[in-house]
Parts: sequence; C-alpha cells; structure tokens
Amino acid sequence: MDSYILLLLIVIPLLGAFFSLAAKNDRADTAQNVYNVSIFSLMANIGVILYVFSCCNTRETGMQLVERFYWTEFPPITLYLGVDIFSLLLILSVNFAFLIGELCLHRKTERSKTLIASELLFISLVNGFFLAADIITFYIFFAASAAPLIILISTYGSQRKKTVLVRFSLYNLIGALLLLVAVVMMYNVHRQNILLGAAGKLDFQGKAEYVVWLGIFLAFISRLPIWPFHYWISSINSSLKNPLVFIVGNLIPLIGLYGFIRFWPNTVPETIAVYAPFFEAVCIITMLFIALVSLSHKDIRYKLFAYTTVYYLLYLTGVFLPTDILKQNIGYSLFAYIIIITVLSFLISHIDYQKKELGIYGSSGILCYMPRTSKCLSLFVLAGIGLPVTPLFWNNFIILSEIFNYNLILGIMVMGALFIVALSLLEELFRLKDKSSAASACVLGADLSNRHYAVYIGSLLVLFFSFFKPLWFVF
Amino acid sequence: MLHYMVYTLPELSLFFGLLHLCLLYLLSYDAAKVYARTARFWLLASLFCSILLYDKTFSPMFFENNAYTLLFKLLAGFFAYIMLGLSAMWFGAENRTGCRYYVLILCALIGSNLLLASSNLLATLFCYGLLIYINYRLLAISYEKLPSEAPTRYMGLSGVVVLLFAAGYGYLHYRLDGDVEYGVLREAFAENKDSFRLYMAAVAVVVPVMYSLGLAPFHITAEDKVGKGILPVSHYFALFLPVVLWGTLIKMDTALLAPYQNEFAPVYAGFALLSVIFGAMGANSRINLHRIFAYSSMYHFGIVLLLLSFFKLETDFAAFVYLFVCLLSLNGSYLVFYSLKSRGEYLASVTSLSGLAETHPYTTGALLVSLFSLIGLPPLAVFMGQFDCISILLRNGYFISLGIVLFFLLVLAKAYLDIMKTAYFEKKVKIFDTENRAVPLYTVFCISCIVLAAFNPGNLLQILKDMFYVVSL
Repeated sequence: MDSYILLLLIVIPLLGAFFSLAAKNDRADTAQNVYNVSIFSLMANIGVILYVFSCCNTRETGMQLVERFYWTEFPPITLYLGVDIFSLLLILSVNFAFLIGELCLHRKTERSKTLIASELLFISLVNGFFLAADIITFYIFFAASAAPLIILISTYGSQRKKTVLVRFSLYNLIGALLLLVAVVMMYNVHRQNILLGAAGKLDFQGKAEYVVWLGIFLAFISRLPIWPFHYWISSINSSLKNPLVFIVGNLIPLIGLYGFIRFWPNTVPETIAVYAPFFEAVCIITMLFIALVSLSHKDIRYKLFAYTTVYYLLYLTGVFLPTDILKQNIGYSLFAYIIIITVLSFLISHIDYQKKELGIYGSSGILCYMPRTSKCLSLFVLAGIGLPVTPLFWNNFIILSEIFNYNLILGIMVMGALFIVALSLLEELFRLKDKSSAASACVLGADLSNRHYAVYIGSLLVLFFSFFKPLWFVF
Repeated sequence: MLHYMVYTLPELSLFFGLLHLCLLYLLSYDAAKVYARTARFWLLASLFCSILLYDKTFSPMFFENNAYTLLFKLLAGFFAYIMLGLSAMWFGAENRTGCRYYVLILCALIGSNLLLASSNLLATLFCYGLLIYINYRLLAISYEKLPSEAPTRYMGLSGVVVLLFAAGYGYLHYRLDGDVEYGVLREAFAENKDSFRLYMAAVAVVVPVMYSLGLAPFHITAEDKVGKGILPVSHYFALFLPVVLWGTLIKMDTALLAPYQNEFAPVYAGFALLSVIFGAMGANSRINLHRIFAYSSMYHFGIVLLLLSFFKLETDFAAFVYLFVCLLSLNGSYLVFYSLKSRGEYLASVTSLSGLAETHPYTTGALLVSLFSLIGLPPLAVFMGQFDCISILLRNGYFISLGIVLFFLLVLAKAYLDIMKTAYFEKKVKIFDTENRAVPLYTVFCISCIVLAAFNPGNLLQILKDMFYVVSL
C-alpha cells in the first residue's frame, strides 16, 4: 500500500484553513474557535513531522519516503514528494514558528479568519514546497506560495504601500514565469517530469542551458532581497505590523534560498557554476549595504528585517561556495534562526502594543516596565547574534570558517556585515533597556503573560537542546 | 421516420421550453424566477436528451452529432444553466420578468446545438445567421433603459459579416454544384490548393466566426457586446457564445480548413498575437469591470487561437483545455459581479469595488481566486492550460510568440492586480446590499470547480480528450 504521510503534511493545514473559513461570523467565540483550529492543525502537523523524522534514516543525504502521484496523461505528468533531513528540519522549524506565533498572537487581531486561513494556506504551500521532489511540484508550490502573501499584505499591509503591492506582486509573477519557462524547457527534454537532483544532468542543445539556469536563478533571486532587486521586498516587509504577517513576509526569502540550495550545490552544471563568485560579490554588497542602513535606521522592526536579510544572504553565500558539505549546517542553523526571528518579531510587537496602550511616544527604557519581556528579548537578541546557546552559533561558525577558507576578503566582509547588524540590534536593545529614560520600575499588566513567557522560554529550551544534539527530538 | 422525430428531442425540448415560456407570459406571470426555473428545466431536459442521443441526428445530410458536439453542448449548457439561475436575481431586482431574455436564450441554445452539429456549410450559415440575430435582440434588451447605437452598429457590422459568409458559401455552392458538405469541401480544398478563389471562399467562411469571437483585428463590436450590456447579457456574450463559436471554429479547422493549414497558420498566429496584445493593453485602459473582462477574454482567446494555428489534433486539444479552464475562471469572476449591488443597482465600475473586502470578504476571496487562476497561478485551473501552452510553444520554437504571450500576461496581471488593490485597499464608498443566498452557493460551486479542475479529478482530462478527439474521425 502506498504511503501518503508526506501528503498529510500539506493536507492538514489546508483542512485547517477550510475549517477557519467555514466558522460562522455571527458567533461571539468565532475568533477563539479559529485560533483553536489553527493551533490544533499545527500541533497535528508537528506530530506528523516528528513521525516522519522517525521513519527517515538521519544519516542518509538523498530523498527518502518518495511518494508518487499520477496527475495527467496529457501532457504526461507524475508528481513526486520526498524528504531529506534538511527539508524536514525546515518544515519543522516553519511549523513550530507558526505554532509559537499562534500561541502568542493577540486575540483581538482584526479579521482573524482571513489571517488564520491565509496563514494555514501559506504553511500548507510552504510544506509542499519543501516536500517537492520534482521540478513541476517544485514550481507549483513556488508560485502558489505568493498568493497567501499577497492576500495578507493586501489585508494587513500599510495603506500607503498599495502601489508597492502591485509592483511587488508583478515582480513575484515575473520570477514565477521565468521559473515556469525553465521548468517547461527541462520537461520538454524527455517530455516527462524530472526529479530535482537530475535537473543538472539534462542535455540541452545550444544556449538553452543558459536560458534555463538564468530563469531559475532570476526566479529565486526574485524572492530574495538582493541588490538591485531588494526594494520591493524591503518596502513591503518593513511596513508589516502584524507579527504573524511579518513572519510570513520573512519566510518568502527562505523560499528563494531553499530553491538555490536544492538546485545549486550538486545540480548546477560546471558551465554555470563559474559565475558563482559574481553572485557572491552581489550578496556581500547587499549584506553590507543593508547592515549599514539598519545602523542608521531608528525603527526596530527595520533592524529586525535587516538582521533577517543579512543572515539569509550569509546562508546564500554558503550555498554558492564550491562545496556541498554545508547543507546540513545551513539546515541546523536555519532551524534556530527561524525560531529566533519569530520570537523576536512577537516580542517587538508586544513592545509596540504596550507602547500604544501606555501612551508612550518613545520606546527608550520601555523594557524597564517589563522585566520578563526584557529578559526574553535580551536572550533572543544575544542568541540571534551568536551567543553559544543555540545551533545558530556553531553552525554559523562552520559556515563562516568555510567562507574564510574559500576567500579571506570575502570572509572579512561577511564578518563585517554580521558585526554591524549585531551592533545595530544591540544598540536598540540598549536603548529599550535604558534606565535613565524610564519613569518607574514596573507597570502592572504591561509585561508578558504567563503563557507567552512560558512559550518563549520553552522555545529557548528547544534551541538549547538543539545546541547539544541537533536532532534530539528524533527517536 | 419516427426515430428521426426522437432524434430531435434535444432541440424539441428547448422548443417546448419556448412554448412553456410563452404560455406563462400569456398567463401574466410576472416573477422572473418562474421564467428562469422553466428555462432551466427545459435546458436540463435538452441536455439529458443530448446525452442519450449523443451520436444521433434528425438530418444526417446537414448535421452530425458525436461525442465532440456533446462535449461543447454540455459545456455551453453548464454555463447557460448558471446564467439562467443568476439572471433571475438580476431581473427580479430590476422588477422585470425577463421573459424575452429567457426566450432568446432558449432560441440561442437551439441555434448553438444546431451550429455545433452542422456538417454542411448551408446549415452552418443558417445557424450562424440565427445566432447573430439572437445576439442583436439580446443587445436590444441591454439598451432598453439606456438607448444606444450599439445594437444597430452590431447588426450593421454583423450583417456585412454574414453577407461575407454568404458570399463564401455562394461561391462554394456554385463551384461544387450545391454539395457543400464539410467532407466534400475539404476534398475540394485539398485538390485545388492553388485556387485563389477557393482560398478566399475559405477565408470568407472563417472570418465571421473570428469576428463573433471578438478576435483582433475583428474586435470592433467585442467591447460593445460584453462591456456595455446588462449583466445577464454580458454573461451570455462572455461565456456561452464563445463556447459555441470555438466549438464551431475548431470543427471547421479540423474538418474543413486543414488543407490550408500552411496558409492559415501564420495568419492565425498573427491574429492571435494581435489579440494577446490588444487584450492586455485594453484591459489596462478600462475602468468598467465588464469591459476589462471583455479585453481579458480577448487575450485568452488569442492564446487559444495561437494553439490552433499549429493545426494538429494534440495542440487543438491543448487549446480546448486552455479555453475550458479559462472560461471556468472567467465564470467565477462573473458570479462575483452578481454580488456587486448597492441600493438595488448592480455595479460595474472598478471603483465600485472599493472596500469590498471589508463587508464581503468571501466575495472578494472568490474574485481573488478567479483572478489568480486567470493569471495562471498554480494549482488553479488555468495553470494546467498555461503549462501545456508554454510547452507547445517551446517545443515548436515559437520563442518570440512565447515572449509576447508572457510579457502581455504581466501587463494583463497589472489590470487584475489593480482590481485586487481597489477591493482591498480603497476606502468603502458604497454600501453593498446583502447578497441573495443563491449567489454565494453558485460562487462556491464555481470556485471549487476552478480549484478542483487543476487536480484532474476522476481523470477528467482523459475523458475530455476521448470526447474531443472524435472531431478528427
């Protein structure tokens, strides 16, 4: 009997989204029901992910548990789903991040049904993207994942950004169309679907190989905030106030990064791989540029966005290195990184919310009123910039050492960008904790609730265990 | 003799429907719902008879029914059923019975059944002329409230086009001594490929169908038909009529014009690309939703024609699949238009969508799904057609055409995104009326079709393919 366990990872959040949409509007407890549905869906999904982990051989690097789905005979297409430890880690981190988000989300959020349904739809599509084992499935989920993002930005984005939304959507669509052309060209070689690992072994005629790889490259770049294409993503992301939407926005570059990881290290032909140093140079310029901008920016949310961008580009630089031993390290590091930015995003939202509630204009010293928030923010900021309590520390250490090994100047510049962005976050942390700007020691009710505090500390514990044994949850 | 009478049942059912409607009118029924229900009942009866007698015909000399004609009849019937159901709400809101509309739709169904089944040029000409007249009468209903020259202009231009068809027919009739059956014509075309007059006669036969489909450069009245009419009439022109006309054109291409494929292919490709360009540009320059969708259809029909330009059965089927999924998505958008009502008045401008997401989140969501589908976003319906279209263009080395199609898809997407932007970002300017319960039901059904069609449920594509490929037999 065929196993559909991987398909379940796509279907569970999708069903959750349908249940959320089906909730009646005229009921007082609708919002609560919708949140419960989403939490249940995510917990069920995490359960299934852990089960899948237990079914996998953690020492094997190739695709495992491959599932086949016949789609059409005309044109002949069969779709494949499969996992390796790297993609499973990403799926787990994304689902876990959204579970943290659900548990910590402010329950009075406007249009909660739209938010939760779009979020669950996004999770379903992102899970499908990470599970894709062939080029067509990969394209389907790559393109489709933009739809919930557009809905969320339309609903929760800033009014001032409405023209940016159109341009951003068009920009994403261009990327998707380029990938579609590349995928169809690959498909046409044998008139059948191609597994991801076999994409680089196709025999193209003439310049077709360059067209295909340029299409793939530009498609993934369209999801990453890389100069000169960084404007739309940065202007959209920095305007998102809802933390859950911010997380969705910040996971879009992960899709581009994952695309490169899947296609680049083992797959890309020699003729294309020679251009890697050029891409690395572009990454470094963008990293330094964004890090410097964050230093001059006063908005903490922008600083967080800059931090996420710089780290994504660090991983991308690691992908472009002429070695394929870093994939697992990038996976472990991304696992911690996604959880850290989720928690940071929610802590910042909490601070913003309390600032509004307390009627404070500036946020200097605001953490003095909230000792728990202060502790959590300090721990997560320090973990984010390299405190040796999470897998981020030693995996980034390995990635950086490989970069230094490859090119000393490149390594120095990457370190420089990481240093600047860390400085920027620490400066903000200091400003928020500055006692000289605070009027009193503590304001009742302004701090994190017990539940939120427990969730954040629990998240930190998960990261802490992963520091010692990355796959501690696999039995 | 009796069995020929039985074979007329699909058309006869519709004719009984006409009599039934007339009877209701004479009995002074004034509820649009009653007329719509009656029309739908007889439509279902006709479809049922069509399925039972799918390969039988009452006049083998002029008509030939098979699985291919059944396929298009079912598709047209599907859209007609939805159209009839929702139009009742429109006429009800306007305090009109809509009797004339329903009578005309049943007449159009008879005409379309015969046009799809026609295997003789005389029958094709007759049915085409009948449909043109019905279209004119429907347009006249559209402009009852707001008199316009549009129906007259349409009839004038269509008259010229019908005359062109008649001229082509006349010449072929004269040349072949009255035997204008498709098979005979095809042989004549194949044997006299160098004859310029025969070629021009073939052109005269195919141009009217292209004109009625609103393909560039024959799109003079396309905007008037879909863009200016009242909602039920616009719905008819946007969805029902294209199904019938594409069914006819594909049949003509395969059964009649195949000998001229080398001559027609570049012309088709040229017209197709013109339609793609004009469609995408036009959609961006309009502010009326119906007009935007009229131009958007032109873009999509351009792609269908581009696929037909290969004159291969495989690409014809790809064109059909594209048409099928595209009309399914367009239908989703049209259903949303039935929800756009403020103080009893149906709205059609883009600005009237302002703030729709605030009060009608599901309606906006449905619009979003159909627009995303029309862009070709997977896993929605149009993606399935788009994938095959791109694959065919790349395989055949049509790189420039592919570039044009993709570039203008982005231009068209801009028009769709502007609609989304208005629905989500603009402040509410109108108070939208509460929806009739039937509209969301139809919308959910159609949106489910858009979503599910892409998954090829029950091997749908294989069934469609088996039915479609009969056209070549």
